Formats: sequence, C-alpha cells, structure tokens
Amino acid sequence: MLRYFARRMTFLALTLLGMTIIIFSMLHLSPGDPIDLIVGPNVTPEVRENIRHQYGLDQPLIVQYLGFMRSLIRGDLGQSIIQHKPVSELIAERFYVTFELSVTALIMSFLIAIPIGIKAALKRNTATDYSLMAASLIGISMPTFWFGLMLLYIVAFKLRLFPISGYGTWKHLFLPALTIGITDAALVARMVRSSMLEVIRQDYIRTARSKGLPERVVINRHALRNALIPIITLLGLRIGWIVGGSVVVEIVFARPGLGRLMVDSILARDYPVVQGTMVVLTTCIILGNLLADVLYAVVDPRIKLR
Amino acid sequence: MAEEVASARIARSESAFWHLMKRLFRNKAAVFGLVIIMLMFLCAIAAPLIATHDYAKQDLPSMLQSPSRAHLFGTDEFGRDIFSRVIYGSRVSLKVGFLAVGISLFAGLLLGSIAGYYGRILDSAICALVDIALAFPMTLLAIAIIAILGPGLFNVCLAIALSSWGSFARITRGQFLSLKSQEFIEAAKILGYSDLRIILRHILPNSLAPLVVLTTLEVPKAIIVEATLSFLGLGIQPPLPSWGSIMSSGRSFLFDAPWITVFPGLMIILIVMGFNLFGDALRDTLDPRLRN
Repeated sequence: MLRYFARRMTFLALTLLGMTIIIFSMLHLSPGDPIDLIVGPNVTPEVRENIRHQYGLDQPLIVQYLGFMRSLIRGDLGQSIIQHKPVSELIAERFYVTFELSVTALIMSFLIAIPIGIKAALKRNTATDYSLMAASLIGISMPTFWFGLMLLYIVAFKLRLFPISGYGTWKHLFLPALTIGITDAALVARMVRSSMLEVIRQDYIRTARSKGLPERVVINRHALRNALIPIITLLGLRIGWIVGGSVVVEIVFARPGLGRLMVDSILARDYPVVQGTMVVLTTCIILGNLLADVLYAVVDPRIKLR
Repeated sequence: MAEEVASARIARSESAFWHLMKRLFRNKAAVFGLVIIMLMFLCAIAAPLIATHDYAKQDLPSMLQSPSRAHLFGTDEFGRDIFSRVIYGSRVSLKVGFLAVGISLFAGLLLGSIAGYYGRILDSAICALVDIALAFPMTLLAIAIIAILGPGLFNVCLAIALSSWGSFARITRGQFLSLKSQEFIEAAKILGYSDLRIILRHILPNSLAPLVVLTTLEVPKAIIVEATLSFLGLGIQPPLPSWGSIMSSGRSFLFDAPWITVFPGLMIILIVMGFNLFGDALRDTLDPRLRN
C-alpha cells in the first residue's frame, strides 16, 4: 500500500515538474523578445535593458526557472501585464466559477452514464443496447462547445427555461454543467458497459446464479459492486477531460471562470496570467487524479497486495 | 526454390488480407463509416465543383439569410454562402486530422521503438515522458502549446501531435516488447542483421495492426481538437474556412442566424462518427482480443 502511494507520488511530482517546465518555457519559446510583451516597441534601449534586468530576464534560463519555481512555491504567480494586478488575485476571483462547473459536470456525467452503461450491458445485443450505444456514439462524436451552443439556442433562447449567460444561481450553472455532463457521459457509459460485461462473465457470477440467487440479487449485490471499482479509476481519468471541457464551455456560456481568463490572456499575449492559470488547472487535475487513486485503493483491497 | 517460398508467402498473406477485408465489409457499421469517410474526401477534393458560391466572396445585401434554394445552408454576417464554406472546410479538417496524426504517429513510432527495443534507462525515461504527456487532457495541452507557438494551420497540427504522440509510443513499445523475445527476432539477431534492419523489416511490419486501429481512432480526436482551437480563436485564422472558425464567428449571431453554427457542427459529427465506426470495426476485425 505504502509503496503504491510512494510510486504514485513520485509520478505526480514528476508530472508537475514536467508541466512547470512547459509553462515556464512559454514566455521564452514564444516568438519575439519577451520585453516587447512588457513594454511597447518604441522605448529607448536603456529602458529596455533596465526592464530586462528588473524582471531578471538577463539571467541564464536555469536561474530564471529556479526563480520561477521559488516564487511558485511561495504562491506568487507574478503580475498581469495587461491588468496590472497580481495573477494570484485574478485567479482567486475566478477559481470557484470553474471549480463549481467541473464538479457539477463530473457528478452529472456519472449519474447519467452509470445507469445507461449498466442497462446496456444487461440488455446486451438487444434493441435497447443498440439504441443506447448509438446515442453514445453521437455524443462522443460531438464537439462539446457545439452541443453547448445548441442547448443555449434551444433550451435558453427558444424555450426560455434557463438564463442565456452569466453566473450566480444554479440556473446559470445547469446548462453548462449539462453540456459537459452529457458529452462526457457518452464515453463513460461505454466504459461502464464493458466493465459490467467483464464482471458478468466471471466465475463468481455463474456461481451466484447456479446456487439459485434471484437475478436481482446477483446483479445488485455481486455484479454491480465489482463493476463499479474500475469506474472509480475512470473518475480520476475523466477529471482532466472535464476541466478541459469547462475551459471551452465557459466561453460558450460567458462564465467568468479560469478558462475565459486563460483564453483572453492568450489572445492578449498576457503570458504571466496564462502561466498562472495553467499551473492552477494542471495542479487541480493532478490532485484530482491522486484523490481517485486513494479512493481506488480504499475501495479495492486487492490493491494493497501490489 | 527461394522464389517459390516467397511467392507462396505473398499468396498466403494476400489471402489473409482479403479474408480480413471480407470480414470487415460484412460489418455494416464499418461499411457505413467508410462510406462517410469517402464522401468527406470527395467533398474535400471536389470542393470547387460542389460549392455553389465562392467561399470568400462577400455579398452584404444578402447577409444573415436563412437556408434557401439560393443558399442551401444560409449566409453569414458578410453574406458569404455557408454551404460553400462548409464544403471547403472539409479540406482543413481532413488536412489537419491526417497531418497531425501523421506527425504524432511518426514521433510515437520513433520513441516507442527506441523504448521497446533498447529497454533499460531509455525505456524508463521515455515511459515517464509518455505518462506525463498522457496525464493531461489533449485540449488543454494543445491550448498551452498554441499559446507558445501562436495560431495557424501547421502550428495547430504540431500542437495536436505534441499532445497525442503518447498513445502511439505506448502501443509501439508494447508491440516491441512482445515481439522482441520471439524466435524469429532472435534468429535475425544471430544472422547478424543490424538493429535498424530488424526494427524496420521484422518488428514494425508485425506491429502494424494496433497502430492502424489507433490511427483511425486518433484522426477524429484531432479533428475535434482543431475545431475547438479554431472556435476559441486559437486555431485556423480567417479567411481560411475551418468548421471551428465558422462556428466561432457564428457564435455572435447564434440567436439571429443559428444555421451558421448548426451546419459545421453537423459535419463534424458526421465525419467523426464515420471514423469512430470504421475504427471500432477495424479493431474488432484486426485485434479480436480487444472485442467485448
């Protein structure tokens, strides 16, 4: 158990390290002199050199990276070039908006996907199974943002059931979360189905049936519980996708979250903000994966043996 | 004698190939998927013949018109014909889909072969890299890379490739590991063949099946990521019509002119579904172990 966690933690630390290197490189690999991003092109060379020195951009890259990491650990994400505010402040204002959306979407996705996947598996190769899997195929093939736009047009604009955009009440949250929830559920339902089919094939299910247990008990007590274990791992794997989806769906529904902040900052070439949002989003994904790992180990006693 | 053996081998592999093809074409989903893919290619190649208007020509008096006989999919805010733009858009999607996956396949093959064939520290290093690359969602990683490279068709391909090469490397490595210890590879080594020859002539041809399947299933993902990047304004730039960028401008007119957004989205669903259907069927045929 301990070794398992030690291995996971090392991996997570490595992942975070790799990501900070990519994020740090942003400012330096992007075309042009980073100074141009901070000041306009028409300043005297002396001023440019002063600013270069002030921002530490005249230091070797490795020194700059260590400095970047040192301030990261202290929670200092730098200053926004455009908005002249600390990046951490900008992120703090918007973090909850994205967090709320991602968590709601994840819950919705699993609430939709688990019953559908199980139903399809139990009715394998029937019309029910085929139509559920056909619906799932369409869901997988849809770009998330397009589905969001369609919901926005039909449900919010035509039917006037929900507000068109903005942020605040559960009504503002529902459509964006549903957008991500349904498109994600399309994929998760398929995986739940195959996990359930896998379990139904096992010997202990045959034993349960042959000792005369009613089908309901076989499914609920024996099959379902075991089929849900791999789904916890899936939960962890989907977090990344859901956060990525939130970033895009925030644009569609004009939610003032981290995704909006990041995309706006990329377009405005406000690199410190881009770096900051990336660091926060990737850290959340990594922590989410860790949480799923812990849950998995708690639920499945077999993991302790590894 | 040697020639006879060679021709017998070719005959056998050909019949195996045709056997697979026959099984594949008995699968209705596969045929349906393939028909969609071929229609899309036809669209892309014959775009000038199919399009009813010049995709870039502005016609302000007829802006934001709903679908009609003159404009099958309606017009956008500049009076441009959406049908023609969508038809031309298939060129961008297919180009990005195949170019991005091509780069990704090449990088994955290279790193996966090195890891699988040489093992040891190279293997550990490459595996760690793959795990890290796969720990992040493709869209987010692609956005991060575009933030560095800047928008544009080739950069979009590069960004997608950099965020999807991991699965190719992982599959290639797995194939190498399982083939490396087989007798015919041992024999090739004893005959003194160079590593490069063993890799290219003996291991790679035997690991193609899962790679072909993965390629078919990665192309639609690349198409969706391209559309997403372009929708966010980080991908293909106007005036080139990409389905994502058409929807990006359509968003501002969603309530007055939903057709600008509806049709490119339907095209994406169609093409992605085609690839997914074909890819799933291909996997079932080529690699029955994965069937469930």
